[in-house]
Amino acid sequence: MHVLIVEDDELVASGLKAGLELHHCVVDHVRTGREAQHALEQFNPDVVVLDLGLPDVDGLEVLAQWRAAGVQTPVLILTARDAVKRRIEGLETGGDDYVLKPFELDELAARLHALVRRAAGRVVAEICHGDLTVRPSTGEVFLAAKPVSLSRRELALLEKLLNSRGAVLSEERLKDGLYGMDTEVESNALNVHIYHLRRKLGKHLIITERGVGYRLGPPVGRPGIET
Amino acid sequence: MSLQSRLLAMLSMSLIGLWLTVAMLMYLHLDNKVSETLDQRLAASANMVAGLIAQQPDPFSQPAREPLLLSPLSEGVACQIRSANGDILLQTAGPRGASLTDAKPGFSTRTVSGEEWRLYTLEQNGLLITTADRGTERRQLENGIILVMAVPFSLALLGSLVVLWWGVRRGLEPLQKLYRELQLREPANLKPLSIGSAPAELRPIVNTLNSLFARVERTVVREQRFASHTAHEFRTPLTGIKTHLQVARRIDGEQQQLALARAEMGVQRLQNVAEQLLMLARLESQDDWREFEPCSVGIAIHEALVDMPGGERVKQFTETGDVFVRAPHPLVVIAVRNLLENALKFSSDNQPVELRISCQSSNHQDLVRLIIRDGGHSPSSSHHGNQLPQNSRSPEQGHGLGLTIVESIAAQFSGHLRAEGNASGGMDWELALPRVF
Repeated sequence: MHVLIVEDDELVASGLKAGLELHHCVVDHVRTGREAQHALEQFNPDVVVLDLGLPDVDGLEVLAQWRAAGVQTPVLILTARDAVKRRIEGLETGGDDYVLKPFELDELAARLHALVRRAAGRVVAEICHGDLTVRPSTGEVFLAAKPVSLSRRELALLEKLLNSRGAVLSEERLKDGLYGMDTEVESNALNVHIYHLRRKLGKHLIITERGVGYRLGPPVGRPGIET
Repeated sequence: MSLQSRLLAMLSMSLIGLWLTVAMLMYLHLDNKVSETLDQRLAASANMVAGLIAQQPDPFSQPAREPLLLSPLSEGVACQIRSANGDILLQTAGPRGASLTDAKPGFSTRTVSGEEWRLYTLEQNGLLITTADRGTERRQLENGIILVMAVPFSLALLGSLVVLWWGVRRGLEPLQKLYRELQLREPANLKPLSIGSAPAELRPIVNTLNSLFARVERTVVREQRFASHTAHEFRTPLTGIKTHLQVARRIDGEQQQLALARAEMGVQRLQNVAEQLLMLARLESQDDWREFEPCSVGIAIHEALVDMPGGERVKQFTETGDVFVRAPHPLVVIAVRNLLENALKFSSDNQPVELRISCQSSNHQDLVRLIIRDGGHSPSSSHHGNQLPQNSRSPEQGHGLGLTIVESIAAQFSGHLRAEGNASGGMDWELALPRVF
């Protein structure tokens, strides 16, 4: 899961980033509303954690602009301001959830996963694709009921493909989803992750559409059968 | 009892009392006048008979064996003519005529057959002429006159009471509106009172109440803003501490140490917030700052910049020599430091922060103005005006609280703090304090 954190407080943002990375999330962090606008357009995150008290523009204004522009990305509002009026305003402006500071990391991660799940049209925490079962909230992956160990990036890539419902995803979009604002990325890093996923979960899990990108293959069977 | 009921009762009682007194006096006066008039009529009748006898004296010059009898149409009148030696020459027929015998000259009253009669006897040319009215007829006449007087009088009294009731209700309508408005008002409703066109007597009350409501509303908004700022100032470092401790519990090694170090930074920030709050509490108590020496602005700025992270970005522009302000030195240092830290945090890393010191005379008061100009990342100017921005904050420390403290210092020592957007997209913060020569 690719999370964009819009938070001007470095102390909170660094803790949040570290905590969500422990929950197998790929996290990007920006400090201002303008940076958030740019990041959202550029990297298409799965979910946004939005602080309301941004230094350049009010967080609700940012959210209203996104919703007016048709941005569907789920937004979780994270703020220290607990007035009921403010919460209602946040949800009515387009926020999908509202969490007060301070918060429990596990709960926040669970809420973010739930938002992404609902945005993908799923009602259960597990994503099943043939014999493949992924639990994004815990980072667990099972193939034919046997656990498979994936790195954080591999898991994020797998989730992207599973949530795309067979649509072709461009290489750029997948890279943005995996690395976000991290510019220090090897040019073949995506290919390496795809190679590892195919090796661990079956070569037909990811289908290459030459010159266009990648898409999710048909439901995965046992590795022995598939390979 | 309502003011309206009390006023109505008082006015009605007074009106009824006055009118009844007048009615009683009029009745007594009229009663006397009617009796007097009827007596005069009786005397006039006797005089008229005497006049007639004087013109035709023959029938009464010789005593008759039998008196002449008269039978007037009205039974309520009687007449008798007697000679000086008591012989009856003429009288009304029946007992009413005979009953007039022996009447003395002048007015008298006697009862005949259970009925009261009023008599008048006139002595003229050796004849005694007596005329009489029955009391019943006299009282009927008197009662008729009183009835004619009493009916319109009563109607006028009732009409007056109705007009009084209507007038009082209408006159006190604005007061009633005010009463209803205040009675139905929710405690949280601080909107201005509206009772239409208030009369001159109520206008000061309505204006005072509205101004009080406005002040209470401003105070409530300020307190809510302050509570919101304070909650934010506490919760933000607390969130940082809690998050980093949760992370530290799940990892080890260098990353754990980093998370713990960051949690410690959060504790330091929390401590700063607590100290700021204590400072604000001391400011509001005022007892600690009753006596102080004037503060040198130059020295205060120098002390505020000591060890300030990013202090080298502060560029000073002094338009005057060293000046003194009427405020305690430690508080001026805190105010300047808070404003500069705020400006540094809300400017990009490579942008300088300007600090201009100048003097100005305003409203017969000499002020020292410190204008701190930052270059951006400040709250948008749409949130400004004469009021401090509501969503202003600092990523590193209590921006909201810091500015509240500066505002409190300025207000307590007859100065002011103002903010407005500048051309570079940042903010100009003006702290003005009274100058001491």
